[in-house]
Amino acid sequence: MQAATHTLDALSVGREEVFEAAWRAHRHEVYRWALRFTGRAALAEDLTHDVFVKLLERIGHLERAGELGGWLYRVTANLALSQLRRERSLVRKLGRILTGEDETSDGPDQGLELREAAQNALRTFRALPPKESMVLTMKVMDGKSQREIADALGMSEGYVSKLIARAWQQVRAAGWEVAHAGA
Amino acid sequence: MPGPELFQAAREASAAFEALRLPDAAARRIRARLDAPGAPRWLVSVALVAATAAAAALVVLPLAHEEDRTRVTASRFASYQQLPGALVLRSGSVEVDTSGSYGIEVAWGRVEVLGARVTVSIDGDTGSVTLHEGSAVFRASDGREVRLEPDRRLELPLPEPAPVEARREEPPAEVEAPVRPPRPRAPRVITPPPALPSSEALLEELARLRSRGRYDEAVARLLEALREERHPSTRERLSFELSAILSTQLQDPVRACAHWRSHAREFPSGRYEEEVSVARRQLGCVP
Repeated sequence: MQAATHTLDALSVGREEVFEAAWRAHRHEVYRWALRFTGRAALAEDLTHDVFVKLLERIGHLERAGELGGWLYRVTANLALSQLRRERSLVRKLGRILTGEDETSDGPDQGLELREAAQNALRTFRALPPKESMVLTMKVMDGKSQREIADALGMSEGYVSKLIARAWQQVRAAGWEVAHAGA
Repeated sequence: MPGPELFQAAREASAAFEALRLPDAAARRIRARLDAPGAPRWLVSVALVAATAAAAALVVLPLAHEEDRTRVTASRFASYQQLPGALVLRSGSVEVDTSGSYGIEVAWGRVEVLGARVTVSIDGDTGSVTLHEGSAVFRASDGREVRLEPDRRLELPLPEPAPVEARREEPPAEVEAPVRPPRPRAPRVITPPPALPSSEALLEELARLRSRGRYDEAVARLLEALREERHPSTRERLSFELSAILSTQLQDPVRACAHWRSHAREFPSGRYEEEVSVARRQLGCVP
C-alpha cells in the first residue's frame, strides 16, 4: 500500500496531472485489488478501466477526499461487488447455461504460482455469495477491519459482522479450519 | 480437499498477488479506452440519447452555416481553442472529421486537412498526426511540408533536417500575384494583386503565414483584405480571424480589444457572436 499514500491535495495541481499521477501510482494496485476480488484477469482489466473512469468523473470533487489510495480501494471494491452480484443473478446464470459459457475458464490462479492450499483458499472465497466473498477477501487477504469494510462498502458494521459470520460457516462447511474466526 | 487452516493459505495467496502488475498490454488497452476521443463505454447509452436529441434538433433547426460540416471530437483533457475553420491544439487529442478544409495548429506547425478525418495528439513535448481518410498535409513552422498517408502516423516534431546549406526564407510562391507583363519586380507584398484572390486562396495564404509563425504578416494581409470589397460573410470570417490572431498568437490585448470592438460593431448578431463575447471577456476588454 506504499503507493497509496499520495493525497489528492498533494497532487491537485490540475485535473490532468492528478489523473496521470494517479494512473502511474495506482494502476497496478487497482488491478491487483480487482483481480483479488474477482479472480479473473479480463474482468479485473475492465474494472481497472471503470475505476479510472470514475476517477475522471470525480476528479474535480475529490480535493478534500483524503487519501487517493483509499478512495480507489473503495471504488474498486464497490464496482467488483456490483459486477459479482450481476454475474450471480438468475438471468446471467441462465444465459451461461444457454450459451455453454465456462465460468472457470479464466480462473483465480491465473498468473499466480500458488501451493495447493492457497489455490483452494481462493476457490473457496470465489464460491461464496458475492457479499460474503467480498467481505472475507477484504478481511483476510487485505487485512481490513470490520469498520473499514463497512465504510468501504457502505454497510453497517453489524451487517458486515453478520456477513463474516455467515462466510465462516460456509468456509468451515467446506472443510477449512479457521483459527481466528472470532476476530 | 482444502488445506487445514484458511488464514495461512489465504495470506499466502495474498502475498502472491502483491507481485502482480497490470500487464503492459492490458494497460495500453485501458489507456486507449480512457484516452480515446468520445465517451467511455458506460456513457454510450447516454450518448445515444443525446445524439438522437441532437439529430432531432438538427432536423428542426436550420444549420447556422456551412462550416458545420466539420466535427471535432476532443479527448477528455484536450486543451484547445476553436477558431473559424481551424483550431489551436495545446495538449491532448482531437479527432477532426471534415468535408471541407480545416486547420489544426500545433506547437510545431499546422495540419491542413481537406475532406478528411485525422487525429492529432500532443503529449508533452511530442505529438502525432494520424490520417484516417482523405487528404492532409503537415506544414512545419520551419516551412517543411509532409503529405500524410492514410493510417500512417506522423510523429511530431519532425526530425531535425540533415545539416545542409543555410536555408533562406522563401516567399510563398504559389500565392504571389501573377506578374504580367515582365517589368521591374515590385517590392515584396506591398504591390496589390491585379485581381482579388479568391477567399480560398487568401485563407490558404493566411494558413501558410500562420504555420510559419509569421503572424504580423498575417495581420497585415488580413487588414489589407478587409479594406477590399468582399462578401459580408467572408469579411466576417476574416475579421474574426484577425481578432483571433491578435488575441491568441500575438497576445496583444490592446489591439485585440480594439478589433473585437469594431468586429462586434460591424457584425452585431454575427455567427461568431458567442465566441466574440467570450474572447472579449477573457481579455478584459471594455464593453
